[in-house]
Amino acid sequence: MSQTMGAMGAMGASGAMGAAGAMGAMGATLPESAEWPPLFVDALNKTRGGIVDPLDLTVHVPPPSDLDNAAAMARWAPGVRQHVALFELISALSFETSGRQSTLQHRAPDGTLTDIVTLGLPSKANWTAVWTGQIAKVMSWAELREDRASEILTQLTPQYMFWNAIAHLDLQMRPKTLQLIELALALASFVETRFKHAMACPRPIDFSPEIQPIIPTPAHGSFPSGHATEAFMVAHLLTKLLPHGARLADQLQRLAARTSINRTVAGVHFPVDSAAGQALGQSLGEYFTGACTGPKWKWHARVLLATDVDFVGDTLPPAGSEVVISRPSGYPKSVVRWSWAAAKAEWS
Amino acid sequence: MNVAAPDQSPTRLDPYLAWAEYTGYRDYFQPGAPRTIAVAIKCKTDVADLLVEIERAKVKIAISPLYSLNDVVQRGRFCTASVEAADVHRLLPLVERLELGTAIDTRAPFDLVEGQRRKARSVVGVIDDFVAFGHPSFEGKGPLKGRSRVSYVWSQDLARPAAINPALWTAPSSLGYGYELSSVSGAVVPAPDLAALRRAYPTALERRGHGTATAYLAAGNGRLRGGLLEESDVDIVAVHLPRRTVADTSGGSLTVQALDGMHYIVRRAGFGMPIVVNLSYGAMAGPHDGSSLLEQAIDELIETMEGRLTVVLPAGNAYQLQAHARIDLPPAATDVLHWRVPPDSQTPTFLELWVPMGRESDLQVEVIDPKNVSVSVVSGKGLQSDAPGPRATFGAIFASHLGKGGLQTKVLIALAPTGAVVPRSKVLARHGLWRVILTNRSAHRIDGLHAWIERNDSLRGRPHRGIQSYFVDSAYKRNGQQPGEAPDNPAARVQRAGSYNSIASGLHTVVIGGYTGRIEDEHVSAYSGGGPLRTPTGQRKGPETLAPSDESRQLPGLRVAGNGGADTVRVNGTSVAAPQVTRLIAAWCADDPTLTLADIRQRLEDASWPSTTKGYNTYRTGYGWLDC
Repeated sequence: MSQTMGAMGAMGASGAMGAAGAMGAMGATLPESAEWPPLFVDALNKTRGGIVDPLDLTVHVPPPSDLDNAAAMARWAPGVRQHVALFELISALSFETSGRQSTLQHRAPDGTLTDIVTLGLPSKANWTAVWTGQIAKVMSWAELREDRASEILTQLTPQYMFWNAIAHLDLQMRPKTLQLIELALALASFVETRFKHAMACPRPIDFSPEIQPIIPTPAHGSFPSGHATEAFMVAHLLTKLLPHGARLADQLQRLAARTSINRTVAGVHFPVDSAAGQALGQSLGEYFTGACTGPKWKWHARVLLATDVDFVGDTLPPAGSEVVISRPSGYPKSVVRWSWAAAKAEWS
Repeated sequence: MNVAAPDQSPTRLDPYLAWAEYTGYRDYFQPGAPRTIAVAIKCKTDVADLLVEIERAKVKIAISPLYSLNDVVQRGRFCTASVEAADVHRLLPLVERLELGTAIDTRAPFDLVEGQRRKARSVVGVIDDFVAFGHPSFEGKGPLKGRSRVSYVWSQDLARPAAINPALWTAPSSLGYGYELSSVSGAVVPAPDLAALRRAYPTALERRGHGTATAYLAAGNGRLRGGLLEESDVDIVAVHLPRRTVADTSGGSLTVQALDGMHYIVRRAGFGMPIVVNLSYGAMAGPHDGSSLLEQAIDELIETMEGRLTVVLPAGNAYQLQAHARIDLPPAATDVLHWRVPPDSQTPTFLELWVPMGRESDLQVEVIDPKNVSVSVVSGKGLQSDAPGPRATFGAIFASHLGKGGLQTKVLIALAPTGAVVPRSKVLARHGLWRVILTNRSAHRIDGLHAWIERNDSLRGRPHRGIQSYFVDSAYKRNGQQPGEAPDNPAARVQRAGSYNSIASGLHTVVIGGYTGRIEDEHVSAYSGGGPLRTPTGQRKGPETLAPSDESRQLPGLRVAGNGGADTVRVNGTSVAAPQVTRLIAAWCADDPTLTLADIRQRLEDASWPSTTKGYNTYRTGYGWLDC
C-alpha cells in the first residue's frame, strides 16, 4: 500500500484531497481555510463595513431541481467529491471469509452478491513449503537491490512520475484526471487493507532475519501487495480512460509489474503477494471502470490462491469467470460516473 | 525430465551453436529477421581449399573477402563467413572447427583494396565500441593540422550511421557490411576537417566512451604524463564493433567481429607498416590454454605478418567475480558447485566446464535448478535439457570435438534468461541457487577440472540486460571482510587465480593487467585478471606486465577524453591499462621497425618494476609494474 494512502487512512479518508489541493492542481492562490491569516479577517471585515450600504435582502438563488443530483459535484471541493464517490463505491461492496479464502463481492440494490475477486492462503499443511520457497525467492531478488534502489524509493508513493513518463498526463492541467486516479487509489486502498487484515500474513522480515529490507516494512499484512493492487488498477484505468490508452497498455502493465517486483527486491513483499495484487488490481480496475462507463457492467472474477510462484508480471492471472450485469439505473450513484466523465472531458 | 537432442551422434557442432539450434535460435534472431548467422571457421587446410570444397558441395555461404581476396590471404587457415542457419550442418564436414558469432542482417560481397597511406611511422589499430575520430586529441601536425590522424574507420554496425552528415560514411561495393569513413584526401572528396568529422558522429552519444578512452590512451594528444602533455603522431585505424557485439556478452560474437576488424586494420594500414592493434575486450569462459578459435586465428595473423603486427589485450576485470572454480575429484567421488543465478537477467547465462582430454567419459555432470529440476549429462549422450527444444529453460552438452591441439574438452551448461522485457512469452530459467554436481565414474583421480562462468554483464551507461552469475563457496574468503585483498584459500573450489580474459592466452599477443597508484605502491587493481593458465608449452602463465588502471584507491580510473571536445571522464579497468602499452609499443616500433615480439617483450620486462614485497604471484603481475 502506498504511503500517502496509508496517511490518508489515518486521517479518516479526507487527507488525500487536501494533498491534491496543496499540489497546486487548482492553481489556487489563496491559503486553505485552516491557514486563514487573522489579518485577512480584519481586512475583509473593514472593507465590508466600508462598502456595504444599504442591505439587499432579495433571494436570487432558485430552488434545487431535484435532490442527490450528480451535477452538484461540479460545485464541491475535490476532497468532498472524493468522499461522496468513495461512499457510493464502498456501499456497493461486501466482503466475506470462508475457510482459507476471502471474497470481495458486489452487492446489488436487491441484495444479490456477485464475486469480484477471491484470494486464498495455502492449507496449513502446505504453509511451510510455500513460504520456504517464497523466502528463497525474496533472497534471490535481493541481488538487485543496488540496481533498483532509486526506483524503490521513488515508488514508495503512488507512481505519478512514472505514469506521467508513459502517458504524458500533465495533471496540473487535468485536475479531474488526478482526482479520478486518487479515487481509484482510495478504493484500492480500502479493499486491499480489508484483504490484508483478513489474510493476516507475516512479512518476509518476520520469516527470516537475513532478509534485512532496505526500506521500512509497513505495519500491515503482506498478502496481497498494495503496491501491486494499485499499480495494476491504475494501469487498467488509464488504458480505458485515455484516448490513446490502448497504445499505452503494454508499457503501463510492464511498469506495474516492475513496481511490484521492486517491493520484493526491497525485501518487504513475497512474489506471490504481487501475483495476488495483480489479480486484485486487475479485477478491481475492471469493476471500477465498469461502474463508470457503458450500459453493461463487466469484469472478470479472478481467484488467486497462494502457491510458491515467482512473479515476473509477464502474464495476467487466470481471467476467472466473466461477470456481466446490467447496472441498475443510478447505481452506484451517478456521482461516480460524474467523476469519470469529468476526467474524460479533459482528454477530448 | 531429460530430453535428448534429435541428433545423438557425436557432433562437431560448437556447443553454443548446438544450444542455439536446439532452442530454435530464440536468443539470436529478432522475430522476422533473416536467419543468417556469422561464423568463425578454422579450415582443414586453408581458405583456398575451403572455397573449392564449398563450390563443390554447393553450400550457400559467403566467406568474407577479407580472407578470400587474393592468393596471399587465402593461405590463412581462419576466416569468417555468413551462412543460413539451416545450412550450418552442410558446412560442418568441410571445416575443422566452427564457432557461432552474432546474428546478422546482411553480408554482401566485400572486395577491399589496400588503403591510401599517409606518411606515418607506425599505425595504431583500435577495435572498440566507438572512437570519437573527430576529437581534438587526434589532430595531426604539419600538413595534418586541423585534420584527424584517424585515417579510416570501419563501423561494423549494420544500420546506416545516423549522423548530421552521413555523406562521409560510405558503403561502396568494396565494403561488405557496416560503413566506412575515411579522412584521407581522395580524388572526389576533399579530406574533411575535425569539425566535419564530428558531424559524422551518431546523433546521440554517451559522454563516456569506452572506445574513445582506449584510443585516447593509445594514440591521443594532450595526455598528461609525469607533468608533461604527451603528443602522438601515429596514424590510427579504428573499427567500431556492432552495438550488438558490444552489448552481447557471451563472448562468441566477439570472435567474428574482432577477427574481421583485425584483418581490416592490417589491410588499411598496409603490409609494410609496423601495426599495433589494441583490443580492450574479452570474455571469461574458455580453455585458457590458447586453443580458442580467436586466439589461434590472431596468433596465425601475427605469424603471417612476420613481426610487423603486435596485438595488445587486457587481462580482464573478473578477478573478484567468483566466476572461476577448480575441482579435483578422487575416484568415484562427487562434488558440488553452488552457483547463484540472479533474477532479471535478460540475456542467457553460460557456464563452461573444462575437462582434461581423455577423461570426459569418466565424468558425469548433473545440473539442478532452484526447484530441484535436474538434468544429467555424460559424454556422447548429446544435449540434455529440462524441456524439449525451444521450451528448454536449461540444458547441458559435452563437446565432442574441439579441433586439434587442445588439451581439454568442454561441457557447456546453458541457461535461458531469468527475466524478460520482450517478448513476453520468453522462456525463463529459474533464478536462485543452482547446483552442478560432478561425479567421477572411474577408479582414477580426475585432477584439474575447471569451471568458468561466461561474462554476462551490462555495460556502464547502457541499458541493463545481462546480470552476472557467480559461484558461492563457504571456503572462499571474500574481500570487504578484511582491510586488504583476501588471498585465495587453496581448499576453496572458487579460485581467483585463473580468472583471466579468455581470449588472452595466445602465444603471440601482449597482455596487460592493471595497477593502482604509483609503481612503488605495488598495488594490483583488485579486479585485474591473472593466471595460472594451461598453455601446452607453458609459455604463457598470465599477462606480460601491469600498467596503470586506477589513479589511486580514492580515485578509481584514469582521466581520459570523453566523446565531446572538452569532456574529461574517468574510466577504469584493464581496458585502460592495455592501450597505454599499445602507445609505448607503437612509439618503439616507429623508432625501430625491425623490432620483433621477443624484442618488445624484453623491453617491457626491462621497463617494469618487478614485484618485491607484496607477495603477488607473477601469474598476475607478469614482469611487474610498468611506468606509463
